[in-house]
Amino acid sequence: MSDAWIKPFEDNMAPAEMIIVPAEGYRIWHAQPSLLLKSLTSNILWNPGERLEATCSWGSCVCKSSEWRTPNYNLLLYGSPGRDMCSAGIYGMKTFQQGLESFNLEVRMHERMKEPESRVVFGKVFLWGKLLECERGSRAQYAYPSGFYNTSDISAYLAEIYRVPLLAFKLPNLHGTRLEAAIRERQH
Amino acid sequence: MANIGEPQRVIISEPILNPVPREIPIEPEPAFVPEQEPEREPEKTQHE
Repeated sequence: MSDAWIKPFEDNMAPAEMIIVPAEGYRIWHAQPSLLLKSLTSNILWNPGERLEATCSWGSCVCKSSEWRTPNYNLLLYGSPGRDMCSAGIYGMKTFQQGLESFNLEVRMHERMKEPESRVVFGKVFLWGKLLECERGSRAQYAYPSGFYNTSDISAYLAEIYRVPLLAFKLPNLHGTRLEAAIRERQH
Repeated sequence: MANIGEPQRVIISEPILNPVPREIPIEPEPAFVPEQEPEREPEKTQHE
């Protein structure tokens, strides 16, 4: 089942709140040479015009067994009853600042890669279906990009391909910081 | 994978509007057809 990864959380938390709009978060992707987006930590491609659905690809993950239903299972195994048992879901960060920091970190890491054909993309994402709200972001059952920041020469093309807005990229209160210098360097 | 901290709660989002943008079909513009003037009847000559 596609939402099996969230069941342990559903069963251990208060009844879920229901909303009729998608949540929105900030995230980064890799853009393939074909201009298709790819998740950073997996080979999952985000196809234009199609929602992405989260699945747990780890065959032996506890979310696929009934072990987590055993009383005190987490307590015995991890020493905490609220241990995060499965890390599946489509991730979105809560704030622009978090997204920007991730973007800059990934850009620096990406520059050291042997195959720099792909590009780092920074944008916003719609998250819906079953959502696991966390301290600094959310993990969702379904997702689709909701906009791309204009950080490079491919941003406008990506916005067109995915039929989402191209977002203005402003520097929030970074005057004189190393972050600002790094961004300006990338822009020229 | 971003470190987004500990899970707090589960929310169910069922958007009324589909968050995935639909492709807007582009209808081809109708070909330009010049208006044809109605055929005039040949003027009748009056014979006295």
